[in-house]
Amino acid sequence: MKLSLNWLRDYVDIDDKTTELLPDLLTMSTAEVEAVEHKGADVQGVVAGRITSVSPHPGSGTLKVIQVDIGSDVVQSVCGAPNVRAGMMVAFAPCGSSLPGFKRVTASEIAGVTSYGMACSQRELGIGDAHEGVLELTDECKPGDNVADLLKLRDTVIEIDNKSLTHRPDLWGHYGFAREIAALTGRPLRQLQMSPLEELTSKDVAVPVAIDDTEKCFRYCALGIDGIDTRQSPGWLQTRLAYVGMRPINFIVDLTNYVMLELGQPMHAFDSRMIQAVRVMTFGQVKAKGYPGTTFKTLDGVERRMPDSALMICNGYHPVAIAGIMGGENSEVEPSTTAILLESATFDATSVRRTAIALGLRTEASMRFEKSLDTNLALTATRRFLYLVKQVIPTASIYSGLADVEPRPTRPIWLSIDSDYVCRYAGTKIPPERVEGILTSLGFTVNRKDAGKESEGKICWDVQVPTYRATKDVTLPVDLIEEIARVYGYDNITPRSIAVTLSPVHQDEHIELHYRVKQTLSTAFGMNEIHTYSWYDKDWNKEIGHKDDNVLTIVNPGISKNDTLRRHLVPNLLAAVAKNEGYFDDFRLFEIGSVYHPLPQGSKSDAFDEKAIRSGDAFRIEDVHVCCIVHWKGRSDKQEDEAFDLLKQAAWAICRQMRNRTADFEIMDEKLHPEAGLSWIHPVKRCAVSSCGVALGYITVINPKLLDKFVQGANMAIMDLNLTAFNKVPMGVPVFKEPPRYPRVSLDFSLLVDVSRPYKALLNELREFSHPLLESISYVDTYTGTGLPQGKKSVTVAMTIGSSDHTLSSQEIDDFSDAFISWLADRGITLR
Amino acid sequence: MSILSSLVGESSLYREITASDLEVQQMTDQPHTNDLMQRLDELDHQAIAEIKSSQTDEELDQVRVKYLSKKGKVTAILRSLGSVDPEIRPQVGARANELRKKIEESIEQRKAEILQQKLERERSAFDPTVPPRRVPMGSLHPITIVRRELEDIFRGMGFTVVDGPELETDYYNFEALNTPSTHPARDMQDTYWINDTLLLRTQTSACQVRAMEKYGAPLRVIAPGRCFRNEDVDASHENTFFQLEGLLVDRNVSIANLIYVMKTMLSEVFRSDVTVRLRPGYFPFVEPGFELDIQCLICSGKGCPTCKKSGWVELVPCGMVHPNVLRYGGVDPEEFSGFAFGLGLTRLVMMKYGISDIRVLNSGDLRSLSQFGILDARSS
Repeated sequence: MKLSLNWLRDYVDIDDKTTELLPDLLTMSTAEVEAVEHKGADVQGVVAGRITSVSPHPGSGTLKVIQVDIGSDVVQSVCGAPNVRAGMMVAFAPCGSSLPGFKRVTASEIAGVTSYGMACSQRELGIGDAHEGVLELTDECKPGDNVADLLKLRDTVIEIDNKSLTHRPDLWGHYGFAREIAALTGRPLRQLQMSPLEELTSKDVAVPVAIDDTEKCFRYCALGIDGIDTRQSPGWLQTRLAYVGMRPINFIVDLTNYVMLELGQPMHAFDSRMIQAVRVMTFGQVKAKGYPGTTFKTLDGVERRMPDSALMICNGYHPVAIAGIMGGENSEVEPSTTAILLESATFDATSVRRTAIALGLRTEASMRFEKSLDTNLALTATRRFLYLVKQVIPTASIYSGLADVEPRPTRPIWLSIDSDYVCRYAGTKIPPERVEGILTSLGFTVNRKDAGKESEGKICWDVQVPTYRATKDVTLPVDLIEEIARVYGYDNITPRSIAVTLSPVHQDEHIELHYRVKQTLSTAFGMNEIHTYSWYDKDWNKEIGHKDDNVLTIVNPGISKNDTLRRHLVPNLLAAVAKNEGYFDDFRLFEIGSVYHPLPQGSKSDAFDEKAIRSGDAFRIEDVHVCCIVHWKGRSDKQEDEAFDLLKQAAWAICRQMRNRTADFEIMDEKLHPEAGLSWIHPVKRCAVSSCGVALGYITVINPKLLDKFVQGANMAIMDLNLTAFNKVPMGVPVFKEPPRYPRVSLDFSLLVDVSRPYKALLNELREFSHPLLESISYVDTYTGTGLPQGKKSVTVAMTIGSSDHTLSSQEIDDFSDAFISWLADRGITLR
Repeated sequence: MSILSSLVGESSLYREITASDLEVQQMTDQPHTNDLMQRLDELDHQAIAEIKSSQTDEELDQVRVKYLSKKGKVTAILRSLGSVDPEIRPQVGARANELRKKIEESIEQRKAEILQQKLERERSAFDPTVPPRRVPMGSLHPITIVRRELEDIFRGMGFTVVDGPELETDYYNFEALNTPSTHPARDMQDTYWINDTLLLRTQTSACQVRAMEKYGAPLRVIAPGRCFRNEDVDASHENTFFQLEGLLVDRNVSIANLIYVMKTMLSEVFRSDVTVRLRPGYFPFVEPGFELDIQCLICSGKGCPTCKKSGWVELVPCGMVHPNVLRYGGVDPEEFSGFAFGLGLTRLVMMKYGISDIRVLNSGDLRSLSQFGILDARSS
């Protein structure tokens, strides 16, 4: 929103020094100033000039040669504007004058005729976009008068960030800002000039008002004014509108905008010929009354499809405007208009906001109504409009007296605060007189209560919130703190350390654990952490053959292929692999991030049990996973096995990191592990990972079918573990055991077993062998080379034996060996 | 299986490789004096030859065992001295001891030679300057690095680090933050909706009421995490970014306390004494609400392109917790007050590392993302 300092000066004194300080002052205490622009100082020497003659240009069909009386002289100029005529008063920039940006005007020859200056358009004067013709000066003036003074071109325009005004309906007009500036600078705020109320009510109401939906319309004021015309606005008014970003149209329309920009109250003028009785009702109600169709044409010429909930202004049952948003084409002010019905109303903020969003039509009016306006402003604005219209068009008079229906008036709020509360909350001592002064200057009424014997020094106040602040913004005592503290100045509050009681600080352990996993993967395993998006790229999923039907969907995705939330990290990481493999051959990626599961079965999405989510169960539809991908160039078995082994080591390390546990690797069976069906899982080279019986995820070499999506010769191994599932793995608490006093002996045995037999199965069988000296069995290696019987492999295990009370004799060792070998023989297992 | 062995698992920590049984040599015959002297000469000859031909410490050790161990050949002669003619016993004994010493010394000498030869070979061949064969070039995401640093700072100040779901409810993300569905502030945030109830959280502020419900008052928490807003991605806008929410609730917490904590915290983050200023800002869940600016660290407030010539950089939206929000969290606003702040973690990362295009962070491009190493490297 833009503010004209000239406009503000109507209500509060702003000298040059204050002008300089004002942007900072507003930023620090009221709202963020985004830009400051000094206007008009560069327009120098431009004067009023009367065109005395217009003749055709000898060398051009479109150009004209004009003679202009500028008081001191009559000068010749070449002009291309279609609207020049003899007798017209224009803003003339003679040679030596300057235009915005200090553009100097010089004599020039145009198609053989010398031009000694130019007649200016609005755009050339820096007051708007109009450039179709030269600006006609309609204000009283004589040739030679200074145009910069006449049009009040010298001004400073301050632009305020709208976002910082979200909660301040009172600041959507100049008068509100003038009030702020008066409070901040300690200067008086001048009264608004308005027509007396009696003048408005002096005539009978000819145009009655009825409100059918009193939930959406809080107040509706209508006043019929005739004796007017649609002349051009006075120059100074046009300048003000143009400087704050509003295009001047004609005086009546300009004045509705002017009052809105002054007070923050949107207004609308209907052509009186088109409205005889006002009815405020929803579009649904209008339809019920027989309105044909579902659309309404607004004054910008657009036919709009109306939601039933939209509030309409109707002439009888015939819509003429969308309440609070835009008038209709059927009732707008036209050049022939001589009488208007002036609307000044208060509409429900939410209703206006919803309709504006539904229509995709946010207007200056709707932006203001969305902030919750004070109903008292509706009448104030009507009185102000009448006052101003009569200043310019003295013949204006009322033909239909004030019709005023106010089902839901805004009432002032009373709040109680005391000096202790103010100082405690601000954290600094603010003198009571200052508190009273600040609130009073902002329009609050402050009554000091008789504190009586309550306590020494404490002063209690009853504070009345003015209605223009009471619609939403200031409703609680704490809201008054903001008013006091911001005007007092946050810079005047000395920072103070906090006084707290010492107590143990608890931490959510998984945050630390996830960080440690990242540390391990990046340091010990040389992996690089990346972040990918939380949604799938459906096109890529198609590429890699990943079909995920049962996923959560975003109702309003930015890009339609990104409308499903990821249930697996792998697809997006594979996409990252594809991006990187052009630059690197060997690399390892990982991500720790959330995956999202579909809502529990049987819960209708819209009736999802919010309470269950609130109780923290929401985590069950969101798990944190870690996914690692090892990428290399080459297709050898050895490379695949090494990568697979590396990921097993990583899984092992993660289990130790998370729960001080080891990892178990099991055959990944389609029935037990539904993930086995995922497109990237290798049909053979894969395993399920678990710890303490809790399923955690899997490790796999990438399915060879997917390899043609990647650079030639590349290969990958993938691990995906659910870190949230570690919640179910009990922490491995170490219990100290004395180290053995007598040496342990480790005996290696190479066993011939079927090539297809997993080590896990063999180990489980070997564990059935019991012997008093046996302490543990461990894996050494597997040999599948030459020299073995058909269909066999050689698995070497180490049997560790020992005693707690003596060193084993060689006899004991031999006896153990014999016992084990004969046990094996009984089971048909032979040694290599 | 005991816990300890389950910890070490099937590793080789306790595998003791015992030496194989030593060869036991039996010396049964009773030698004559001359024979003995002659035998000693033979042993001398053999042993020295074997030592000279030894190429490794292991071979030398075998020689030592062969001649000098308990069952060694020279030892056997020394042991048999008792049965030798007393007249020649000193002579034989002296010769045997002399030989024993000679062998020992020869072994030591040969050992030194072998080592010397090895060192000579290495001196010419060993290249200490080659890089390790597989350089562990792992890295953490810069968000992880800076997030961790902030967590450390706040833990040091007695804050609990919490997180919350990214898939949030309308209740925690908006309603409990004093932002009902009719509130115009909802326009300020473009939300990704899953259904009427569920959304992708737009702000880590969603953790405020969760934290109050879980920990009660007084409390000090920070909640770093991923947030989402439905907007078009370009060099300075992302739909997926990180924030770090802070919340402190206690008795008699004031605006003056907020300024102090923010100043202290930011001085830690930037490792220099920062100057801060508060100005009004509007967020429905705080009252009063502030925008906290820090004096531009690049120009020290004189005005430069980074601070758009203003001397100040807008950094942390914050404010005193709105009484309604405390009530939603089950905290009595008559007894407690507090403040909350939202640090733009992504923004901080970009400032810290001089990243001008936000898209780098979610690009997955290792050429960019592997540059940040694994820790928060401080320049001096």
